[in-house]
Amino acid sequence: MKHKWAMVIDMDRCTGCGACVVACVAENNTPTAGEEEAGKGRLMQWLRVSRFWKKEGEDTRAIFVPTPCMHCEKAPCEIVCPVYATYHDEDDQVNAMVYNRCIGTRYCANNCPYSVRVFNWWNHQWEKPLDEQLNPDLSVRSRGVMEKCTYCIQRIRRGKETALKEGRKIRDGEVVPACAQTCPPGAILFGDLLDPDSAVSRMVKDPRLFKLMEHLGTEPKTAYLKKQKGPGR
Amino acid sequence: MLRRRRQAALVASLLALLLLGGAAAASALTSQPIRYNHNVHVVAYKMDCRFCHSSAMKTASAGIPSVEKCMICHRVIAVDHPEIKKIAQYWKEKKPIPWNRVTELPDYTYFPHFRMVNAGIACLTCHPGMDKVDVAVQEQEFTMGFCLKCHKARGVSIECWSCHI
Amino acid sequence: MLDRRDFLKLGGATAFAALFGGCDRIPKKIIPFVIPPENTALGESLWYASACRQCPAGCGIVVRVSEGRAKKIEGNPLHPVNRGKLCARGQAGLQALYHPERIGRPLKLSGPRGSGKFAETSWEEALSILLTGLKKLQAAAPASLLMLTEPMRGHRNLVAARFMRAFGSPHRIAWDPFGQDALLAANEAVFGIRDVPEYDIANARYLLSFSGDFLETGISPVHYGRAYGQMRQSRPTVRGKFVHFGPRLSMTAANADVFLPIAPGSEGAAALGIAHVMVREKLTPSAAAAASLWAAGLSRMTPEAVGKATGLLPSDIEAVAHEFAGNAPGIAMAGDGAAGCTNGTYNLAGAALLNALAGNVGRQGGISFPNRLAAFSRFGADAALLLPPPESGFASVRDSVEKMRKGTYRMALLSGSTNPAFSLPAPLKFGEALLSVPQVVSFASFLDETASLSDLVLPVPTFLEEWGDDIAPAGHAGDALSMLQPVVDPFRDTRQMPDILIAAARELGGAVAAALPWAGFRECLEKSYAGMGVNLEAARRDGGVFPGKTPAPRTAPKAQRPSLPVAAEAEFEGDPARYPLFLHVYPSIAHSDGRGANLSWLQELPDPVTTAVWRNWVEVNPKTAETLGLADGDGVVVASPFGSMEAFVVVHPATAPGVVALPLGQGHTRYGTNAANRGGNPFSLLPVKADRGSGAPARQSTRVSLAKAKLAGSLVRTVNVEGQWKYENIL
Repeated sequence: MKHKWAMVIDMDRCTGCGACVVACVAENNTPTAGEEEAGKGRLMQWLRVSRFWKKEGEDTRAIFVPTPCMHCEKAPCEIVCPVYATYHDEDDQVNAMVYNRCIGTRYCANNCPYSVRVFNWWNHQWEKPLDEQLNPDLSVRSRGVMEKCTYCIQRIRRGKETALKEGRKIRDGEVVPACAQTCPPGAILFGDLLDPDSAVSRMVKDPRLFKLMEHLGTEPKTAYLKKQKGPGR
Repeated sequence: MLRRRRQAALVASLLALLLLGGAAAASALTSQPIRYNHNVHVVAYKMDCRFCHSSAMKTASAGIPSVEKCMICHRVIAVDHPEIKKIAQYWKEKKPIPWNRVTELPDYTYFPHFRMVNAGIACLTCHPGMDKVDVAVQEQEFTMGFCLKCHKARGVSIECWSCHI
Repeated sequence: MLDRRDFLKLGGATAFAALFGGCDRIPKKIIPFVIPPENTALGESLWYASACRQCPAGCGIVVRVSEGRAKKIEGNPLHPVNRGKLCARGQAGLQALYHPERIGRPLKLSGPRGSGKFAETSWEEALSILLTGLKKLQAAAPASLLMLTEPMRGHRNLVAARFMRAFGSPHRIAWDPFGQDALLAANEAVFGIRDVPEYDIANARYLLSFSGDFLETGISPVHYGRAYGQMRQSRPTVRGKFVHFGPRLSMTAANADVFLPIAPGSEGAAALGIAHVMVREKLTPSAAAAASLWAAGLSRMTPEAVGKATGLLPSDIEAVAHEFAGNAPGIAMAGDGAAGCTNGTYNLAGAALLNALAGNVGRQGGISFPNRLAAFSRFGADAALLLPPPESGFASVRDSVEKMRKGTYRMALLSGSTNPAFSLPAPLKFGEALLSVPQVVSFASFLDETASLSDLVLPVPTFLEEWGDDIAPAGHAGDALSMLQPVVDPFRDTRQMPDILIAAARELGGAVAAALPWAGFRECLEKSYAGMGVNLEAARRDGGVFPGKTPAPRTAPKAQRPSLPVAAEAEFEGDPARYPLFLHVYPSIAHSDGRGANLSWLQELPDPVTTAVWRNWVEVNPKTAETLGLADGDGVVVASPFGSMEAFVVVHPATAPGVVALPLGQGHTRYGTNAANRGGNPFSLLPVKADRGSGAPARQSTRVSLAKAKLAGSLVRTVNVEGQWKYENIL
């Protein structure tokens, strides 16, 4: 069963609250970097809420852009990996990262225009008993390995397995990544583009749709819906 | 599937007598708290693997039977056997049996038992010889080549993320 | 029941165990169950429903439990407060459960009081110390017992309140720095209803916020965050417009269509300016109410006059008034920034008056006052104890500090996450006063500033290991009732406070024992709910009892004409010559008043607007920064007449000039390695002032000065402020 998973983030709903960031950390065994490492730009979060200042006449506005991996169709990270540790998954049409293969060249992170890849500079430690929280569905990455948003592949797989056990197709909305699950205003939508009736398939036809740095030709599968402006000033 | 396994088991039980080396058996014997005999259960009493490893059809893990499950039969069967007495002692003290791990899966690997079992793969495909031995041994090393040979032959997913996340 | 050890290190040929880390971490033993629990499949998770206590909003949660360990918290889809959604702080509740620095055994003081030196002791000894103290007091002077807690709800509060009443002490105080006193007082003045309203943001067409940071902090960020998303995009042809007034561009303000910066404490004036235009232009449904307000003095709140007081353009006031009146239903709400001034009640009454004038009360998409007392009448006489009003208790706390000094109290029982030694203005010297109480017993999970001052610390479980019930505070929950259950076995040797109180009551005998006639807290819950005909098993499975309908709104006070709030100006301490800048403090989205600062996930959650992590900062307008010769990232000393602290400058293009903004939350001296020694505590800059109308703590009430200073380290931010991350580049 082939899928083409995609995410649509409605910036008119997003409030910038950061619930998605912590949900992602909790789901994906993301280590805490600590202040010193964070100061070197080594935060390990797979999803960040980028804040941009935008001048609008006299006013300066803050704009929040939740930025996970874009899962590009033409991913710049894939073509530079010498060991095929990051490659395009055929079954799910996502940009996969295989820790076993990764040798830590960091070419992929260097080539990613969205800066969404993070590198394990250390064997991160979970002070006991914080390690009891670790999600058993996916690995804890070790030193020298690149990592990034997987669209919660473990949840996708679980969804597939459940559907298989029940002898049916995956329902729209059955697979929800941790960020989309928790998002209070419901700004993050996730689904299968190969399912013509899915909510994301409808959303990608929205005239507000845009993609980050579209001009680069990366064809991201994480898309955004533009913030609307109300009437008046 | 069952029939195929039974045939295999018959052949295996004959071979077992001839082939099982004393040395291998001795180290395995000392390595487990109870000398559980796979051969007797599977071949002589024709028990299905899945009776004890019951979550193999349902979840990723095949599971090790609880003490309670052992006692379902051994409340009445072979109660005087010295190894069974050990089980009874664990049961009496309500303590779990601290088995030693035999089968090791490489790091960063996800292996859902139920996917294989429900697809009709016999347990002995990956755990060969388990019906011949008493104490469990791992005869087949789980290399990627071993997995992929079968995956390719059956035309199922060979995507990295199917097994490594 | 199974032994805890039986749960652990399952494996067999489990792939799961093998997934962890390097070879050395693969468990070499396989420990199966003795008796497998029913309905468990290896490696499959179970989800338990409970309720979140990371903040007072009262969201419902479901917790994923795998092999006896809690792995992930998600919102409970059935719960009317949050409908499956959860905020960052709720998600981080797991880290409180597994915190390496959690108190695992009772602690007895082993150095001088206040030194923070404790030695572990047994529960037997700890309880006997507690009981000896209580017994002595019971015989001599029961009224000299103080119980100071966070605001409690549900049967937790019932047990505590009954204990104190039966013991014979009137000194039961609940302290919440973000109590809703001003909102209650304002609604009482305008509507005659002392209650928190339900804001139906999801169905509103126009939303006016006066320093109301409802998306990040406030009454229920998840509930209103969800409603905000619906207001924006859930209706096919309507997109609600959102206008924010306030001294600082908060995260909530950044989401507004229009952000209008105003002088601190002028929210009420801005609201009345809008009301003036609405009445003058006859844009209100009730002409009679309008006329009486006009005569009472609304006529003087012309856009020009209000513009002078607030810094707004008169044309903006006119435009907003026309839009607000023309896009019914609308909502005007005010939040902590407006309530925390010395004229807080006036500010909030201004917003309430706008709702009354526009006819938004009691209608869909407006505000309403659901009749919760009637909805909870099935609890009988104790209903009020289960859902106390969400007040701050500031006046009582100040009074109690006086009494501590005078020696009124012989013994104090402290509990809760509000940490008064940290979250009260420093000039009050709460900690010093507490040290003069002869015996202090804390019920705590962590050694925070307050617990460190006690002689005995009794460890309590986190909310994930507790039995309990909860009723969410505001109107937004309908008459829903949440149930808490332990989702995992207690992780430490802890006991719940109500259990300890019930056990103590039994030993004390007499009236106290009669008031708490249960074997334990669980029995207390079970008996009360059985008495009401609640199916507890179903309630625990669903996470509570959700009747599905919000209680009928109270009849809107139509007959009563809203009176004009008495004009009041915000007062600020400090000589403007020496302290030229207004200080605006706000609860941090990650740490609130500071209670989240010990969790690394929250320390590492970048602040939405500044993207700073792990440390304190001070937001300064670019023009103000230029005048003071300050650049982004500089260290400064922020000084008020009451104290000073160090922080790093963040040049913030949308803070009102002349205002500096400081987030609350950091500045701990204790509370574990994640929290302690990360910059100064903004509470140390604040005067002991209260809102004149309600007695709520007035945090926005001082001026400060900034002086450049060389500080160790630097402020870490996730965004390269000057680099490639410009909005133009991403499109």
